Amino acid sequence: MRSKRVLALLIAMIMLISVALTACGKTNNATPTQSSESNGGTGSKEGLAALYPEVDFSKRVTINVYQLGAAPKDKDRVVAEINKIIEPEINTTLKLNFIDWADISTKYSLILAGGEDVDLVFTAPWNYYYQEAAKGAFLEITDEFLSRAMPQTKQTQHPESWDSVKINGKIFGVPKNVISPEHKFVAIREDLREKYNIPELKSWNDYENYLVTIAKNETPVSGIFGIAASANNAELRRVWGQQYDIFDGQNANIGPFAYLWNNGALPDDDFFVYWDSPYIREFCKRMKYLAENGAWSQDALSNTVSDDDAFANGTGASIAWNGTVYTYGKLAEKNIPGAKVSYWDLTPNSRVNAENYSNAIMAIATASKYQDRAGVLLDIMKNYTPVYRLYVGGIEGEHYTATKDGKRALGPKADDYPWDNCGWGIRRNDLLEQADRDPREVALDATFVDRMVLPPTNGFSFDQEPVKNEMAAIESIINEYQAVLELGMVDDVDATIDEMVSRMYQAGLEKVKEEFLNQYHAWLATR
Amino acid sequence: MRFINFVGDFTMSKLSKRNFSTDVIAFNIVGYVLLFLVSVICIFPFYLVIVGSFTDEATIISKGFNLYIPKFSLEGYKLCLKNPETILAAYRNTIFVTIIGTFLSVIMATMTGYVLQRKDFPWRNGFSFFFFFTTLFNGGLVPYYILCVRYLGFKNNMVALVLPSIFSVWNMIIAKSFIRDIPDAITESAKIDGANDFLIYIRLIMPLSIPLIATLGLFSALGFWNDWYSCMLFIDDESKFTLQYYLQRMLGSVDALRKLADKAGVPVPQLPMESMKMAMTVISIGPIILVYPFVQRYFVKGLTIGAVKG
Amino acid sequence: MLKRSASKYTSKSIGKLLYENRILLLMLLPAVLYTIVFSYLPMGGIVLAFKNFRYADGIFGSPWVGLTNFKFLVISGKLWPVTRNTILYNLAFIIVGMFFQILFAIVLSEVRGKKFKKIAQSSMFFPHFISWVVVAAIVYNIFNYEKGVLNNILVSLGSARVNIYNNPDPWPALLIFLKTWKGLGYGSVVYLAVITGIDQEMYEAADIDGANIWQKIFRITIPSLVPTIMIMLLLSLGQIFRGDFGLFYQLVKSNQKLLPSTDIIDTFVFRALMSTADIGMASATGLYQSVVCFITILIFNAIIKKIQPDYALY
Repeated sequence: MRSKRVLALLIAMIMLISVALTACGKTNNATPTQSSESNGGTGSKEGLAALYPEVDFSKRVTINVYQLGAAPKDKDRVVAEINKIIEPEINTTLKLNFIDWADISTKYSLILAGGEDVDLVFTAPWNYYYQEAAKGAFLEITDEFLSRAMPQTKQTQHPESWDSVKINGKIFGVPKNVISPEHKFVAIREDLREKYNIPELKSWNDYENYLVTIAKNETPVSGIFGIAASANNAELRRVWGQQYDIFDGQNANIGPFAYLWNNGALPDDDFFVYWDSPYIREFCKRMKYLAENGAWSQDALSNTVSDDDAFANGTGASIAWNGTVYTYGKLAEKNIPGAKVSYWDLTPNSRVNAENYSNAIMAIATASKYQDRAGVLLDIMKNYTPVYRLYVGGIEGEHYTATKDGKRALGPKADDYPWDNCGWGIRRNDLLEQADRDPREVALDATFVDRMVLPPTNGFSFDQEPVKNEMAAIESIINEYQAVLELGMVDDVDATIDEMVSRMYQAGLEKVKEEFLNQYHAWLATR
Repeated sequence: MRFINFVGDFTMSKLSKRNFSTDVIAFNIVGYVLLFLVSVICIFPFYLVIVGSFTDEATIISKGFNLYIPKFSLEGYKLCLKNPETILAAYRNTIFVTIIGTFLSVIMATMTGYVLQRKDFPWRNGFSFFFFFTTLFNGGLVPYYILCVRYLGFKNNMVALVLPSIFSVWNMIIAKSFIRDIPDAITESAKIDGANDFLIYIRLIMPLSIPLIATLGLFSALGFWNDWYSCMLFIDDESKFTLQYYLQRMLGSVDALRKLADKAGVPVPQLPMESMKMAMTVISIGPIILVYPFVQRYFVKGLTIGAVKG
Repeated sequence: MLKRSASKYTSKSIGKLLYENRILLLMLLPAVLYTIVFSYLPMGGIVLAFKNFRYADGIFGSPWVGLTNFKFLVISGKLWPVTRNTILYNLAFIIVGMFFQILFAIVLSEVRGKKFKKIAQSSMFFPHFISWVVVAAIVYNIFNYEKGVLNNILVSLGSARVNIYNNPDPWPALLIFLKTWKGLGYGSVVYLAVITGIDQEMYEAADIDGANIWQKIFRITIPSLVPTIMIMLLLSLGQIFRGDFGLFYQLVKSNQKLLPSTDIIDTFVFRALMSTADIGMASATGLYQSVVCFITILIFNAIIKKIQPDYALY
């Protein structure tokens, strides 16, 4: 019958079309390998391009990557090695550029705004991620983009990591894929502790005891300060805050506010103003006590030598920081005859902050002319081990050597391409561990891992744009008072903090609070 | 000992002159005292810097600056001169930029200054304001950068180190003021002889403005020599770095890194910062301080106007 | 006598004027081109002070936000104190600086003894090359409470230690001294060059009249310096709302005790914008400084023009 004929025709047509489509699909897949052959290279070995069926690799493209820091001496060689791999695979040339540390505050914005060729760029909350994203500098990473250009990352990236880079629910960069404990602890001169029979440092009070004993006995004799504080005492403040498990603007993007750890539960409205809290007030009072007892110089505010340098050179008897203290501890033991250094966690029962995923982000510039290709390159850098290892560590055997037990050691030319010099943005879990770590460091780090937590509000970030004027004024007020309070150089702690807080309210802190809570509740509602 | 020699010389020279009056002696004594004090105040800190540059880092940190070298060390210099090829290239680049830049800069300032002081030039006030206005209002770094990089192709281009600094309104105004002191009679008589304005400028005005040229040359040379900002903005290629930027960067990066290292989780390199700062100061002063005595000979009285009468 | 420039009421046409002055105009061309390209073209960026800069829209497409970028200057309540500090310090720098620069220029030009003069002049230049960072370190070494040179001397003389860094009072004087010290060599060059250009005949005539050296200085040298002094004064006044950031930032840093007497516009704004890097707000500050400098120079140039038009800047 007529309908049967029509049906048969329809089926035949559908079959024809589907055959035609598959044939076309096959040709599409064939094209990348054909064009790579035209380069005269060895041709695609791993078939990487096949992972990205929807991306067009027909044109040779140079992707400009911008990292922070100093360009390593062997940069060009390592980049050449990387290009040897990726050019035949995805018809892309990597060009690595660096923005020196000293120039970041001026050049970072300029490079994004100036119309140069920027494709991939490193960013982080401490490196203008939120500010530049607000100006539209970074491409929004949508699910669709991931599927198309970064399918491997879509699979391998930890879900919480995406939370940490969300701005109003949108993602503007790809964070690294590993977190590590970031705890603040102290390094002290063990030889001095033994000299004065100071008991082991298991708590903040023990540390105060150490400082005051040094101030009374050692300082008048040799001039060595308990801690040769310089410019501020921000690290001690963080150590103090660990006692209460405070999450504040430093480890959770919540502006001038803070909240306490509550077994991982999300805070309701129990945010408080960090600098107005009883915890910080008490800290400032302790600092005043220590200052009055001579723990540091009366001129610490204007001291031009940093406390770490002082420690490494024998004019300070302790420092507080993160893992960087080990470097200075080693220096102290080298420089000062008879010096021994010991490391103490003053808050052994507290949570340990995680160095969040968002601490290193690779973003794609909206101005990039090859956004898809940039995404593919990033995907490969993060997930394809040969390229990953090259980018992070350089050439195996020269810049680093992999030891038998899965660790790494310095290679003969290690200085020419220092390990992890520019790879933080793409870090992941199988980073070769350094073979010859200080056993004290290893022991202490082991006590951190289990206590490591991400802030419960991970995923929420306070968008300061609507109140940026108030925030600028508030920031400058905090900057004014912060150093004197931390160094205990005020006559009346409470009165000074009251003055600072009242000026903050005058500058619009109430408005900021309102805006913050509104945003927070809106975010809560989406969970 | 030296001072006694000076007093001796001075007295002898005075005795042999016709005018040997008390007021001149009094003036010279007062003058010498002042100059001596000022020299001490100016040399002393620099002396501390030199001593510091040869002192070991740990000593600087624990004992601060000293009058003598407690513990000799070349760490600071070694670090600054770590890459001899780069430093030599930087020196070369800087000298090149300074010479060309100074030459162009002096011409621009004097030529423009000459035109604007000509009383018979109808629009001199308008143009003066046109130039001066730019010292007041500034569009900011972003538009300037976009203009230079996107439209002028300054990226990694040595032109970027010279061109943006060749015209300084300040220098031009100084030139204008100087040249105005040259009597109009010169220009008038030259015009009668049929010379055009440009020839007058080159052949007559410039030779009569030796102190001016020396002054502007000095200022421009110092400006170009010390400029690291243009290099920071536009040059990425290490072989094109200028001396100041190369040195500044070494120092500034450790400084900045220290502030960021906490958050970045990046190890801070161990550099002898303090002695490096000192060594840097000495290295960057060296050449230019030799230029100054050379230029000084042009600051001699009567060099200009005498020629006019002749 | 060159004829005074023809005003617009002249009988000459504009074309004729242009032709007559063609060479002068040509000589002006390089500077004009330069100024247009490097100063006037980027000046359009001033609008950023009134906009919320978004990269995608570029400078001219970004949305207008009126005066919001200026708000942070006002709500902090510190705008007037820092402005006042900026002006007062700059005035002090100008007056004290010029006084010493002129003084030493005169001394250098009149004393005998070439070798000593050369040494003195060269040494006056050294401070110019020492960056404020290094100066701050040296100052700290002298004045610090526990180990400073000054306190060591005081202690050995039996008196009590002084704490300079906790006391805002000596700082204005200290900062003025440092600024003068740094600019002495550089600044005196201009005046020295002018002095060397003074007609020697005047001095010879004065000698014949039996004038002593003080009279020669006050009657000939200084009056000849007046035009230059006026120009330098006007140029400096045109920057009176812009502070020397390096000096204040390196010497004072974040020492809150010293801020009331040493905070200037540039350091205040730097602290406020340190973490935000907001282009609009930075632009707004620049515009604020530019406008007040402009008003200042308009007033003073007009005053000077009435008194002696030759000394005016335009």
